[in-house]
Formats: sequence, structure tokens, C-alpha cells
Amino acid sequence: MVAGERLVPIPSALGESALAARRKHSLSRFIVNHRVLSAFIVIFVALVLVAVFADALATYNPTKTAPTIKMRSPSGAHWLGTDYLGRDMYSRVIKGAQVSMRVAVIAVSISLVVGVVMGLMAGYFGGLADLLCGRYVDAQLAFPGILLAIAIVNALGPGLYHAMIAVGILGVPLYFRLTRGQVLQAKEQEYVRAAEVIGASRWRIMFRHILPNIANPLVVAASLAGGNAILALAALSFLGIAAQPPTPDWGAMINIGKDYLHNNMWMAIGPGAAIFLTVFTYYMLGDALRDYLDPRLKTR
Amino acid sequence: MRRGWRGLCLVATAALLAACSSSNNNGGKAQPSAPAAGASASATRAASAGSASATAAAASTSAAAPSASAAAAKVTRGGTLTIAIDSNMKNLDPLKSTLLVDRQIHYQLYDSLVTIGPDLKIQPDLADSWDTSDPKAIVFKLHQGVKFQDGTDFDASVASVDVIDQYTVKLNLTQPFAPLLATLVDRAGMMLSPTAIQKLGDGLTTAPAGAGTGPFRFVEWQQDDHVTLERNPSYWKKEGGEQLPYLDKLVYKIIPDENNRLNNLKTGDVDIAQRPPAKDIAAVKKDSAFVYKDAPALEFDGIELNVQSEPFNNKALRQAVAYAIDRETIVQTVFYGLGVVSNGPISPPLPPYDASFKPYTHDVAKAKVMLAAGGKPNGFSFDLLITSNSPAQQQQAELIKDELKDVGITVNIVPEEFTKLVDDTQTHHFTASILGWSGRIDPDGNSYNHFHTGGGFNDPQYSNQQVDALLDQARASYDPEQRNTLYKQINQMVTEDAPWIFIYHPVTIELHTPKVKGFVLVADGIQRYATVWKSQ
Amino acid sequence: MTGYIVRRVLSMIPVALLVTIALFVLIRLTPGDPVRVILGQEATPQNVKALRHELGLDESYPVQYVKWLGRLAHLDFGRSLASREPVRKAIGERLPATLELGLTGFAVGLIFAIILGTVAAVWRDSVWSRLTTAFSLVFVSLPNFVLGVLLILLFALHWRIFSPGGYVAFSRAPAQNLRYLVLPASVGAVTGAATLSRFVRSSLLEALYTDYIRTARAKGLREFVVVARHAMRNALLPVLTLAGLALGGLWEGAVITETIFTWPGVGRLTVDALGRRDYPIVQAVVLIAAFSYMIANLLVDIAYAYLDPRISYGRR
Repeated sequence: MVAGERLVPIPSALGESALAARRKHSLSRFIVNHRVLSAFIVIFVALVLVAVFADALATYNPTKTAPTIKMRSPSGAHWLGTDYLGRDMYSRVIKGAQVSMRVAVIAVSISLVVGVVMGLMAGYFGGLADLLCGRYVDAQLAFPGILLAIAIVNALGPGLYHAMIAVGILGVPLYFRLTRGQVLQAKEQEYVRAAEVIGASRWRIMFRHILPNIANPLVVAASLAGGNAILALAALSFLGIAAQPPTPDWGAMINIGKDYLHNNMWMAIGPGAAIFLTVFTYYMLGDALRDYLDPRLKTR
Repeated sequence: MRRGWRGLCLVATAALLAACSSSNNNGGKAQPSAPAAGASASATRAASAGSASATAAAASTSAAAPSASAAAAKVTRGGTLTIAIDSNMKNLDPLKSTLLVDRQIHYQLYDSLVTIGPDLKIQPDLADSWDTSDPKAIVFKLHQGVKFQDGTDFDASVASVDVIDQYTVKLNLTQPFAPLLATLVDRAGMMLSPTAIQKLGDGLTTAPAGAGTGPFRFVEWQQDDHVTLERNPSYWKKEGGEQLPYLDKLVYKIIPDENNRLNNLKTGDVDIAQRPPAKDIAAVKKDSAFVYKDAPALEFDGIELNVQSEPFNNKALRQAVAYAIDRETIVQTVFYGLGVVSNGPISPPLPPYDASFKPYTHDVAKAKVMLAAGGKPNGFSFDLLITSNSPAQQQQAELIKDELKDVGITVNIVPEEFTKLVDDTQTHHFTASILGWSGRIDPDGNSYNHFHTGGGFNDPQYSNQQVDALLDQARASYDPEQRNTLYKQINQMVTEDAPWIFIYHPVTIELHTPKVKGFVLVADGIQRYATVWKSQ
Repeated sequence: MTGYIVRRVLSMIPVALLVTIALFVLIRLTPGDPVRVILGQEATPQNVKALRHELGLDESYPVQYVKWLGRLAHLDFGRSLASREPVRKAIGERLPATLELGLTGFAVGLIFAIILGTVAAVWRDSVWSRLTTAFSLVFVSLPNFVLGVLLILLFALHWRIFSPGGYVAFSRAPAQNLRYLVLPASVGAVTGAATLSRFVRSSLLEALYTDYIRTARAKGLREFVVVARHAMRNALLPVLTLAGLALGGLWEGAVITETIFTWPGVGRLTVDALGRRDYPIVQAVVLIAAFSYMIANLLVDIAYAYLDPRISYGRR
């Protein structure tokens, strides 16, 4: 259940109802009325800011060792204690936010670009393109996500960037299906017909006319899928094949920290809490946004 | 895990030099030595009380030593001893195996011609005595009445060397080879039943039932899970008149995670934990629920540097790294003080070890001077291979990376799966690689193949004609004093040239519950269970 | 109906072929020479060449692929490179452990999901509903390896109730086996309950607002009967779908949970085999996982088509 595409609940709900829903509600009013959502938007923004300004927020150099103070419990000087080499855990966890957010952005970008291009071609060209892309996605989904990711990382060689590629590939089916569905709808719209009539090239229609019109749900889906990407990457790091030492990655920190539970449990608790908070925030945002985009359940 | 990989090379080398090559390679070889600890170790224990004569050259006591130890009277027979071991085995055929973890099993299944006790002195095992008066030959008198576990007799016919009579064999050497006996203690000297070899074929590597003369015989091996051995009821050794071994069964539970090995000991799921995590030793020592002992090991660990390629083809740059690394901090931080800083391949238990030789102390200024001398005043960067999923190596590498940063050297840590790392290092596709050598009881085993030009384990491709000459000379000399002097010299020259950055010598650890009795700790890190018994 | 099933099965063939091709390519891309793995460090070039020939690795990739496929058709997965034992035996020996852990976690998780989801749906605005919703949100966001570490910390190291890891076959020591099982199975159960209870809640909510439920209520049936007999039956259909898929996805949890708790199942075997470059094992496990997932999908689709008359059997 870790790496899969099923955690954040965007997939189907977003599709058809997105456009309709937007007409009914204004997003800003929805946010104001929805206190939970606004709270989590604040937390999310805070997380992003922490990631961006990690270097300023860190109280120590996160990779600087200080063996004489190894494995200390939290104190005024080291808010989350120190690890087995005396490095400041608070600074490592903060820096880890940056690592995670970067991972999320890159991995999701890979999924998004590949998935959207495939979805556009499958949806707009149909026929063979649709068949090939569709079968590919079916085949990929037949692999258990984490096993596929492990196999890809092994083929490429262990490392954070290769793991990002693997996680990016895991996300492709989501964007492919979302895009394809939207394109199929858009294809019948008048503006597409109009573009075809005036003789615009098919690629131009795809990227200049259709894509901008279906971009919104894709962007929402992409921003929420970051939680999945972080989770998947943390799992790979936990297995020791993604982030490499001394990169302050949450999954890698928990992997080591689990060995020190009875020496200094804070080595696992800090990064564990950080992953939880981040994924939880993504998840709550996704939940609230789904209510916004698919309000049927609420209004009943 | 990291040591003892290329034991076979050692065997092969011995084979080249000794005419016993055929017997070394064709599997028709000698046998077990291991659990030899059984008899011989007990003999040595008793030795403290008197029979200290069981020493190298020609001891005549049979393995069934007259160690009428008081302990033997109270011994409890039977029971299953469960051992948490750190890695899956690869090959149970001693002549093909290359891993230390394999040897843990070999030593229960097979006996060798000769063995060692805790003092690392050579003792009789399957050979009752031997004659080395001719430097180019050695004549063994074999113990009589020994049977292989498959019921066939052990006699001179199993060794394809010069058979003098049914219980006397002669090994001819093409040139004098001082470490021969020490070599025969280990896999090269283990005796296997020719009948079993023929019957088992490839099965010898995975299910060597009946092939040895050792105290335990093979039952089953479930990959990555456990190996089970059972008592050899017709074992040929006794302790104080008591038939060995005492235990009915040995179960090796394969638990790669060091914390889980210790946890299993705490919960009583295993009786012995091999290689427990260093970070928990301090607490374990204080806990009366455990028995803990350690002894300096033969092993050396460090960083191999490829001296034939950039940047480490420059001696000054190698020395810069040696000065920049704070090895004392590594020993204290990563290994929690369990071991000593290493200053060469000659480890503390070996006679030529020289504790006063300390060429490299942590010295940032000196490292910078060496960098300048090497033409890289602003430092350089290199890839450091480490074994993946090894917390100790990871921590060591993280510390080293941080320390080298202080002198301007950038380290890229590259974790690789162990067998791939060994392969890359051995085929010289590396710049720097953290590895260790489990060590041998003769200094030759810790130096010749590693540092002789073209040596089998000379991964760094180090070549120094003076060192070569000294290594050859030490190998051919049967004079212990002269050998000590030579190995001291070799150790100094190699460390000075720095094809390896020697980091530390660990300790060998014995850790079990108080129920486990009769355990004898030997510096080679092999645990022998023939004399072990469980109370209650 | 039969036509639908036939079409559905036929449509799996190209996907299955793609799966095997993808796997073949992926494994061949992975660096590290299997021949070296087998022969170790002292192999001569002649040894290497001979073994490469013996294993058929000197043939072209398409030929290798076709031959491999042929062997697969006979369920011959080859031999492990590391231990030389048949892959089928290696996997077969570990499958019971994986199934025991996976199915226990799944079953317990499903039961709790139904209870929690029902509570949350029926007493929609109560404290209980909020609590169960909070439970599911929290544990869905807690990665299974963090949860595993947390359980070890509390139950194994702090309270010392359970062992932090280990395994003994049920047939050998049932009580001991169950003691080992509790923590790792809890990880699966908690994660499963958290994920599935949300679906139980939402589909039960949906069912409770349908016309036939109103009718049932209007007839004066007791609320329990309404929920249990009428709403539940309809609500569980989509839940079973999801559960079916989750069952196929048990492999995923196995990899992480078995690693944390040193549970000697197929998941740990796979991770170990990858580290050792023992490709035949990896190939076989991934293939079995992929096919079991596809079959679970197929069964769900068929069950769905059978149970829900609204689904047309024609092409979509």
C-alpha cells in the first residue's frame, strides 16, 4: 500500500465533475467556508516555506558530524536530539523537508509530462496510439507498485535521482487516464472543431487548444500527488536504495533510526513525525478539495 | 560478512607452492578441523592446568586429550543450541567456499589435519603428529580409527598426496613454505570423504551430508532462513572421557540485521548471537542475562586505494587521506571502542604486531601539506565504495566524508551490494573501497597475497620490489624470530606506502545466555560448538 | 455473460505479454553479471564462457526471451543463481509465511473496516463517527514502515509484550508463531482498516440515501434490519471490489513489513534476491505478483458483472 496510486483520492472523482463543480462554487468562498481546508492550506504553505528556507531554519549544518555528542536526547541546544554521529536531528529533519519537496516536484513532473503527453495522444489520435498507450498502462498497473519501483531503481542503480525517476514512472497511469478522459470530452467541444476547421495542425490543437483547457484538474491532481510521491520515495529510502548517506532524507533516517530505538528513539521519531505530518497535510487537502470538486456527498 | 571472501585463493596459492595442490583442488582433500575446537580447545583449557605441551611442532597427544576437566562431570547432554548468524551461507563445500560465514558451518562439519586453540598455536587434529625436518616436505601421522559421517574410514587414501602407509602421508613442497601448517588449519586442510564427494556431486555445496568427520552432521539448509545440523553420534573425540559433542542439534538462524540478532537473544529465541551491534555492547556487558567476552581479532579493516589510477597513483595523496582521517574517533564512535586503530595488516594477536608503530595521527595541517606535495593543494574528489545496508560502514563513510571535507577532499559515497563491491574491487574497477580481511593465524596470510606484486588479493595493484623480496623471504623462513622481524618491516613499508588506509582491528565477540557453557573464544572469529553444552 | 468473460480474459493476453517483455527488459538492464554471481571471484574466462552457454545467456535477447517464455508456460521458473535450488521451491517454501501474514492482516483489517465504516456512516454526526474518520485519516497517512517502527518501539521494546521480529512455522510451534504474527499483521490490519473504512463509510452513506432504503424505512422496518439487510448488501459491492484489488496488492505490504519484522516470506526473499542479483527469483516473484494482481482484477470484474445488473456485458 505504500507506493501505489491509490492513497490520495483524486483519480476518478476529479474527472468528469471538475468543470461542473467549478461553475457552482467559487474556490475562494469554498476555502473561507471550509475551516479545515483553510487550516491545512496554512500548514501546507508552512511546509513549503520550511522546505524553501531550510538552510536558514536549520540551527546546525545537517551533515556536520560531532562524535562527542552522539545520540543525545532532545535538549535546548538540539531540539530533536542528535544522531549516531552527533549531527543535529532538528536540522536534518528540516533539511529533509527540502529533499522531500524537491523529490515530490521532480517525480510528479516526470509523471505529469509523460502521462499528459501519452494521454493527449491516446485521447486525441485514438486508434493505435490509444491502444498502445492503454495496454502499456494496463501492463504497468499489473505490477505491484513498490516491486516495480525497486526493479527500476535496481536497473538504474541506487540513488535519489534514479528513485525519483522510478516514482515518476509509477505516477504515469494516473495522469494518463485523467488526461485521456478530459481530452475525449474536449474533442467534442466547439473550440476544437473550430481549430480543426481553420486547419490548425493536430499537434498545435493538442498542445495549444486542448491542453490549456484541461490543465486545471491536472494541476490540482499533480499538486496533491506530491504526497504519494513523498511516501513512495520514503519507502525506497527506507529500503536503502534511494537517498544515500549522508543525505538527510526522512526515509533513510527512519531506516537507520529503527536500529537505535532503544539507544535514542528520537532518531526515528523526528523524521517519522515529519513524514506523517506532510502526508497527512496532503491527504487532508486532497479530501477537502475533493469535497469542493465533487460536492454531492456533502450536500446530501 | 565482509571478511574471509577469498579464502579459496589462499588455498590455491598454498596449492601452487605445496605439492599438495592436487589434493587442495580436487576436493579429495583433507578434512575438518573445526569443531576441533571440541577436543583441542578443551585440551587447551586443560592446558592452563598442565598440559601446555600441546604446542606446534610435533605434539603427540591425540585430540582426545586427557583433559579430565572438572566441568565435564557436570555437563548436561542434549538439547538444541540456536545461533543467530549474520548472513546466508553461499557454499558448504570448504574447497569452493569464499565466505567467512561458510566457515562457521564448515568447522562443525569437518575436521582439519591440524587446528588451533585460543592461543593460536597449532595443535594436532586429524593428524596426531607431523615432521617438518625437511623444509621442502612435511610428513603427517594420521589419527587412527576415525570414520567419516557416511561411515567410510578416514585414512591416508583420502589425501591425494604421497601415501607412505595407511596412516602416514607426505606433502612435498616445491619450495620452503613456512605458513603451511597454518594454512592447513582452515579450509585447505579440511578432510572430506571421497565416497561422499562422489555421491553428492554438486550437492556438496548445498547439502553435504556425511562428507566430514566433524562433531555435527548436516540436516537441512533453508536459504536465508536457517541451517540445521545434528550430533554426529560416532564422533571420534572425547573430552575427559565424555563423548563429544554434548548438544543434539545446532540451528543457525540467519538474521542479517544485527539488532534483530540481539533482540532474538533477549527474547530467548536464540542462545548465541554472533556479531552483535557494537552500540549495545556497553549495556549488554552490564546485564546479567548475558555472558559477554571479547578478544582482539586477526582481522584488519580499511580503505583499499587503487594505486594504478588517478588520483591515488600518487603516494602523497594517499598519505594525505591517511592523515585526514581520524581513526581513533571512528573506533570510538562507530565501533564504540570495540577494537583498536590499525597501523597495518599485522593484527594484534600476531607475534610481529608492534603497538608502538603509529605513523599516521589525525593531522589536518599535515594532510594539507601532503595534498600540496601531491600537486592538489585544493583537494580532489573520489568515489568511495561501501557495502550497502551495512550501518557500520555507512557511518564510517559518513564520518570519513565529513573529515576529508575539512582538508578539501570530496568523497562520493557509493553503496554497492557486497558481492558486486568485491567483484569491482577485485577487478580493479574502483578508486577507493571499504573492505576488510578476516585475518589468518600466520602473518603470511594477512600480507603475502594482499601486498605482493600480482598477489591474489592485491586489489590496489600495489607493487614494491622491496616488499616483494621481504614477503618471499619471510615465507621461506622457519625461524620465528627472523619472521617477526621481517613482518614488522613489511608492515611498516606497506603502511608507509598506503595502498590501504588501515583503519581498525576489531574484536571477536562471544555473546550468549548464561545457560550456554563450555564456549571457547578463538581470535579467528569461528565459533566451535563441539564442547559447548546447555544447562537445564 | 460468458461472452463478456471470454472477452475480458482475451483482453488480458496482450497485457500479460507486455508484462513479461517489460520484466525481461528491466532485468536485462540491471547491471551485474549473473554468471559472475554464480562463479564468484576466481572464475576463469573459460568457466564464464561455458556457464554463459549453459544458461543460454550467449544467445540473442529475442531468442532468450522466447525460450524464457516457453519455460514459463510450463511454470518452470529456473533455478536460483545463489543457491541453485529451483525457484519454484524457494518461493514455495516462503509462500506460506507471506500468505499467513498477508491474509491475517487483510482479514482483520477488512472486519475492522466494516465495523468502523458502518459506525461512521450510520451515526453520521456523532463523536464515534468523528473518531473513526480521524482514525482512518491518521493511519492512512502513516507510512507502514513508520507504523511498524512505532509498534516495535511500544510493544516490543517499551512494554516487551511481543518480539520485535522473527518467525517460526505454525506447524512447528503454533503459539510462538502467533506471538510473532501479532505485530506485523497489525501493520497490515491497521493500514487496511484505515484505507477500506473510508470506502465502507462513503458507499454505505450513498446506499442509505437511496429510494429503496427510504421505502424500507417507510415500511417500518427496524433500523438495524435496514442497515444490515438492505443498505449493507449494496454498499459492500464496491468495497469488495476494492478489497479484491487490495488482496492482489498484498505483495506490496509484504516487501516492507517482512523487511522490518524479519519475516521470512516472499517479500523479503525478493529484496534479498535483488541485492544478490538473483534474477530468476526476482523475475518469478514479480511475475507471480503481477499475474495474481491481474487475476484478482479479473475476478472482481466478473463478480461485479455478475452481481450488478447495471453493468453491460458489451464493450465499453
